[in-house]
Amino acid sequence: MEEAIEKNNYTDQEKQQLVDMEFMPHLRALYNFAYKLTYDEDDSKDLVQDTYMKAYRFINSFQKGTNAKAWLFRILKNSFINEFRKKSKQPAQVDYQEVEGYYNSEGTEKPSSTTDLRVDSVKNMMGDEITSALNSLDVDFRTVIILCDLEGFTYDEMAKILDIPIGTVRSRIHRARNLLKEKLAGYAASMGY
Amino acid sequence: MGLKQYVQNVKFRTGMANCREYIDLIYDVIDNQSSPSQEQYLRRHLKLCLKCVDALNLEKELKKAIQLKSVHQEVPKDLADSIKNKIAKSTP
Ligand SMILES: [Zn+2]
Repeated sequence: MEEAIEKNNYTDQEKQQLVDMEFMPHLRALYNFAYKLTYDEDDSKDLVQDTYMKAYRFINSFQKGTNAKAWLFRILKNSFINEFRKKSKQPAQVDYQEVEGYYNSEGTEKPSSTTDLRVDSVKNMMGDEITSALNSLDVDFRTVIILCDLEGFTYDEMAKILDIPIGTVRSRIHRARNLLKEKLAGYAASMGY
Repeated sequence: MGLKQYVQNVKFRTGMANCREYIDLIYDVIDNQSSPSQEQYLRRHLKLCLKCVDALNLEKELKKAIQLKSVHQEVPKDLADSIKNKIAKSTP
């Protein structure tokens, strides 16, 4: 997936310019991504600072004119997995590759969840309901929804950010949305929509 | 293109795909990942299938709700400055 990395030799001025013009504008998106992964302000701050410091340290591997946002998201996600996830007391993760394989194999019907969630009930939902349904998803499913729906990355960019094949991106987003619909259908029922 | 995707495309072109397969296409369409011909296959199916029309509307609405209603976190005021300071102090 990785093309041969061509090292640049940016001057200090160029580096400063890249930071100011290409990296800093994504601060809000990165902080929100970090927060949705950690649910902790201090952890999010650390994670985002860490991301910018790494980006700066490896700035010569960044190709001017390419997608800085995707590059920064990839660094943040890797830091989260390598450092933050270890710290957190999350129980052992299910192997989603296996789950995804199961749901994609021929002849397995996906559980139908759309039947009891209606368009008008989604329209009537409050932001908190959408947010807590999203928060209740496992981090891998939450991540694809954030990247796709909130940040508008393409499947190809998501594959690069997450280091997974594009087919896995596709099936993970389908699965994530079905899970989200199940959660929201639960809300809708409890609210009497 | 993989064999699976090739077979899928033939099914869409000839109108032999089932609703579950059109749902996959719906996701590609709302995520802007589809080709014009795929969109055409979906439109053709939607003329015949109300179930998939409902599914498309629900997916569109859900995506819109996530974009417009999910809560955004305010960035701490000092974060940008603290990052710039740290960068200024370090040598890459
Ligand atoms: Zn249909």
